[in-house]
Amino acid sequence: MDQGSVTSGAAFKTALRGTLAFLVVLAVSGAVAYFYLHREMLRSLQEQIVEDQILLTQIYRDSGPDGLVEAINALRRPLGTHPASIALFSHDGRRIAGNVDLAPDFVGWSQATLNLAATRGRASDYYLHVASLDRFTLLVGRSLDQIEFQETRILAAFLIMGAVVAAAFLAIGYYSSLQTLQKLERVAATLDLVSQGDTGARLSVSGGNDQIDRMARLMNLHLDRLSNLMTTTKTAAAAIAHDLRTPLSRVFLLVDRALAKLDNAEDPREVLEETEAELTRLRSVFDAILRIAQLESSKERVGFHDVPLGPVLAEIAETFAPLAEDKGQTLTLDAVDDAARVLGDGPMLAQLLANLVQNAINHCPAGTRITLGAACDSGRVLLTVTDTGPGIPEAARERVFDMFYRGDSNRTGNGNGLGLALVRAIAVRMGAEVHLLDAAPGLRVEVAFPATGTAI
Amino acid sequence: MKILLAEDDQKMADFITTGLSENGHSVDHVADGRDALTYCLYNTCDLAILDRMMPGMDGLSVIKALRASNKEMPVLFLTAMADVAQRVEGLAAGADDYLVKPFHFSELLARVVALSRRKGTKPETTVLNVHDLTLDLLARTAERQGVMIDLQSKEFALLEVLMRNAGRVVTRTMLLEQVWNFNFEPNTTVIETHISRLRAKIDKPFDVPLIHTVRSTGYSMHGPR
Repeated sequence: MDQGSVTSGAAFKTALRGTLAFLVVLAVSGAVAYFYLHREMLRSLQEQIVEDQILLTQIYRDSGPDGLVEAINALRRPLGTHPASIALFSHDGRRIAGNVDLAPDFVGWSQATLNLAATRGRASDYYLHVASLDRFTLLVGRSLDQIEFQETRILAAFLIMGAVVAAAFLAIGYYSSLQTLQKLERVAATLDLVSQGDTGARLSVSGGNDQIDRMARLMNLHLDRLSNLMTTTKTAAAAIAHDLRTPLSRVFLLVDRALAKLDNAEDPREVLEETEAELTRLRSVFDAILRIAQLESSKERVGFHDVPLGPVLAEIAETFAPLAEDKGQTLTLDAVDDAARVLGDGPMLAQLLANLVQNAINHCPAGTRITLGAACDSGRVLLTVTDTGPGIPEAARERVFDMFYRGDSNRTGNGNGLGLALVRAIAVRMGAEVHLLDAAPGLRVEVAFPATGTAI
Repeated sequence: MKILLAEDDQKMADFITTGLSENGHSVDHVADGRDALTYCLYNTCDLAILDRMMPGMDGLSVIKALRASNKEMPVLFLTAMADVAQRVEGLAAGADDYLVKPFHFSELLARVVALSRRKGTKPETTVLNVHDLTLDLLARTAERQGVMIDLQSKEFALLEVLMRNAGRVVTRTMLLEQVWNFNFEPNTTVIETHISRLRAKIDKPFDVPLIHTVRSTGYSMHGPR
């Protein structure tokens, strides 16, 4: 795996940006805390020095210069743990007592590097206060060592914290980026397989629900649909080839026979008429295939308008009732809900209904009652064609919508096996669904439209 | 009748030209859309048959240009573009009829004859007569030899179309379009069944049949010849 594609991953980049932001915040807040602490520690040091100064001044006032010298000498020893500098100088700059050799040339606060015996020769910074006591000069100071030590520790803590958190951030970012990349590479590999023709390949979905998993599930759905479509197309192509080849070969035979008849000076009329009938059938298959393809490929609803179902149903009932009657069946129109209107195209709707009614007439025996109806039902408009015929076995109900599917396996029945495929294509075009239900006995075809206004 | 045929397929053009000539029409043939437009703009003809997909200029543009130049001769599209939307598009552009390939020659001929008659817009008649049969379009009644005949609405519409075209062939497709508004071929005997019902009412009880079957094409209505 390429290092670059991991570090260019979104997770790693986010972690990197997060780390930088964290470091900036840490530096700013560290600096603020540092200076605040520094000031506070310095102030408390000053207070200690002032306290020392007051104490020593008080001793001088009470016991005079000798008492002060004594006190300084006594104080110097225990102060060793917390190195302090105390000294008393005479007006001519000579040291009278204390551990500082050189007399200061100022009065007030200052900071200086002193080399005291108490610190065993090591020079360190001191914070000093110099005050005049009559003819004397009193110097009181405290080492800054402690403060500097504390500050170093705080600085170190900040640095270590920054380094550890940054490292952790980056490690997590790298890890998630790596995981994402691995998932994506698996996706790519699977898609590659699919594009090479393995329609069965599916993306592996881990139990999780991250964006990639959700996307993978969605892509799997699409792949399912795609492979379904490919299978349908393959079977449809095979069926088309078969269904066109058969009448075509019949036409060849018929033309041969007609020519032979001409050779024998016989009248070929009958054979030619048969040829024509065969060609007409062939053309109707072509028309139906084209129509289905056009319906399925075009999505726009140009020319769709609000169609009341009542008049369409009445026309169809009137058109096909005599045909049913001739076969000893009855075709009747149920009361139609006036509110039953759909967004669609009248002639298309007529073709859908004509196909359903013709199917019922063709496939049902004498005595069958066929009923048309339309009703509104919870936001949908239901168009129904119900018969009391033999029905369709449950197992075949989905397959009858396939192109060239025929209930009778010998393929000799009239019809081209495209009727229901066309019905479904028209229904889908108008946003409707076709359901085949058991009318016990018989078949109930239900076309469920979205009610006008709610149509997509 | 003088007919312009614009068709780029030579075999198809020869076939149509021969057929129409045999039926007494004079046909001029061009194979290019631009030629078709030029011909119609500078020559007079009674009818133009246009292909939609032609070199030079497509049929739709030709008819739009013609209608824009106030050329009102009837135009029939003869094309393989069979989609409903394409048909609507063609008629909306100003075509008078639309026939889809492949077609029966008799179908084309019947439509050509129907179009040539449509040209002279004669006053709207309200009563149609064929031999001794009378159809009153306003009262919606049919009467033959003094007998009132009760007709269903589809039967009435069917009879009206046949009688309006009395003496000429009305093809099955024309009937589907004009009586049922179907732009598809039903796979049952819709037309035959309705014709047979109509015959039972207006022909059977009388001595002279008026509805005649034209083999493999359609029907024609006329009195004894």
